[in-house]
Amino acid sequence: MKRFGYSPTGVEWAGIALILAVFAMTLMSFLPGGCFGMPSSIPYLPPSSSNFLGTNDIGDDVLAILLQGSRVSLSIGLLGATVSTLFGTVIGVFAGFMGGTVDEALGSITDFFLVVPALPLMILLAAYLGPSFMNVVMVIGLLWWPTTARMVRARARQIRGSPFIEGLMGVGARKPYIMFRHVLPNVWGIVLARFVLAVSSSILLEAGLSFIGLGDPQNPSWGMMLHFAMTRGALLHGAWWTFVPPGICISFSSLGFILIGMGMESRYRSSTKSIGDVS
Amino acid sequence: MKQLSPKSYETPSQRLLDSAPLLGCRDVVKIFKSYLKGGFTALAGASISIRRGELLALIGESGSGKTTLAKILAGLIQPTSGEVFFGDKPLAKMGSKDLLHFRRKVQFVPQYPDLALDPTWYIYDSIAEPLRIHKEARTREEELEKVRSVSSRVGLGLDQLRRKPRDLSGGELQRAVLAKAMVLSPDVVIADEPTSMLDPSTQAKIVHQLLEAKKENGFAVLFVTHDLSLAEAISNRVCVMLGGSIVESGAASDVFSSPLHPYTLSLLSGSASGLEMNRGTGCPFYSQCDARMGACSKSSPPEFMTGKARSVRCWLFGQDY
Repeated sequence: MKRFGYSPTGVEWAGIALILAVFAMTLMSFLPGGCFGMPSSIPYLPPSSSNFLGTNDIGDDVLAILLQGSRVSLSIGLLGATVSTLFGTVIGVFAGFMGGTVDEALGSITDFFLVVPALPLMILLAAYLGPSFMNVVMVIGLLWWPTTARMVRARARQIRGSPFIEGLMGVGARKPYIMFRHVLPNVWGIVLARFVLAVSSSILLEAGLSFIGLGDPQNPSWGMMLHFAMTRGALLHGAWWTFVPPGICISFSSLGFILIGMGMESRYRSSTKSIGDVS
Repeated sequence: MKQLSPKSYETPSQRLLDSAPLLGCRDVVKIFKSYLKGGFTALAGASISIRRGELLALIGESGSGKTTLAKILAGLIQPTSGEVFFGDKPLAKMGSKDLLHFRRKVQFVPQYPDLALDPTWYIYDSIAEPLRIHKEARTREEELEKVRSVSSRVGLGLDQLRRKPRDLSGGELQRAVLAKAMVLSPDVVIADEPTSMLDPSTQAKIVHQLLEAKKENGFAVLFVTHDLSLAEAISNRVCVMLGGSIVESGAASDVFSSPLHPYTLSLLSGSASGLEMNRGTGCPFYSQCDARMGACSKSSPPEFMTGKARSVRCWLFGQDY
């Protein structure tokens, strides 16, 4: 992985989180009590051989919920990142390549979303739309695109000014063709890096929204585990096993994606140093 | 390798000078908008015409407007005023079908070969792309045959076609750019200082290949350069640019052996400095000209014909003086 300039630590951490999410059901079947962990009527049972991470306030196995939560957290992370990256890329490429009035109009919209305080607006939207899996994805996706759009726009503008695009226009290529066949492949590196960074941001945002109670209670995520720990007295009982494991999972998985994204961005910057405006 | 020496290639024939212009422009002005300076005049009424099959060299110092004129002729940038024509049709009044025909028949070779091809595309695909855009090859086999043929003409092997631009040398890249320009069998190739970024031995090879291809296919070449000896060696006709207009044009042999404009004289003797030229009213060379007169500072001289296909923009050659 070092050869590609990505962070090996980041790949390991994010990889572990992804493996947990993908194989959650298989891993859960290996738990002492079967698929849903060892059922217990005793709340806040500390970690033991029958419940590796203890039980929560209603006596459910924390490890089983943690494994289930990994699927929710990472699904929201990946879907939120997909929506925001897709939106940001389309707007960025279009604004950067077309220039002029189109660029100014899209730039103003991007600037508006950049200066609007994202977190309060997200809370407002999440509360208004109601707690559901897809609503959380849409809220994250629709409010996290401006940074991607800005970076993609800057790169698309740089590419638009390069002689090979001028040459293509001279040979009679149409603008949509140039955008899809030439501009998009050349911004692909930055899009991929932004996507990985957006996964990390989405995981954190989802955790934040769920923690304040705006997540989907029917699909408990790591953030929702923290919410339940806080609202149902786990802190008072000193039941650290209900909030430390999801906290660690959120921190390490998002940090893993951040490290990969930063590695990709620095690699991308060094590989595109030679391409610039020449006039 | 064949050495390039003056007159080693064609000299303009009477037939060439008599033929109708294929591509040209009349009184083209280009002002680049600048918020700080209020606009920069790159071209101040330039007129040029390229005839079928000729090699026209456009010479001048840096900043004289050569590249801007070349790009306007290639239809890459719009002139502020003036007219560009291809055949007998003005470019501004062309419909989409005619414009597409113009794009196929007039090809531009840019100055920087390393930035002239998409870095994410294979060389083969880059060369084949004009064929795909214009649907010139019906099958993959036909496309492969055309790309192979044009690549071998400029000295590119299959090995280079399978690579990406970052894996090729400057000379190989320039060959690929030439191949891309020639794949559509154009009528005019506009080469904007195609050899300025290359070492001397590669320069000679590339120019030799361009000339061989020109001889084989009969396309016209507008060769933009500031290399005067190269221009003298390869061109049929020469246009000398100064301050955004063409101050002298004629057969290469005439211009190089007996220059008329005082600027051409100083350019050939190596004493010209375009940076000190006059950008106000009057002749752009007024402040440096030893033969200046009263009229030179008052108004820009028009084009005076001094012979067949020989013109000069200097009051010294006006009827009234």
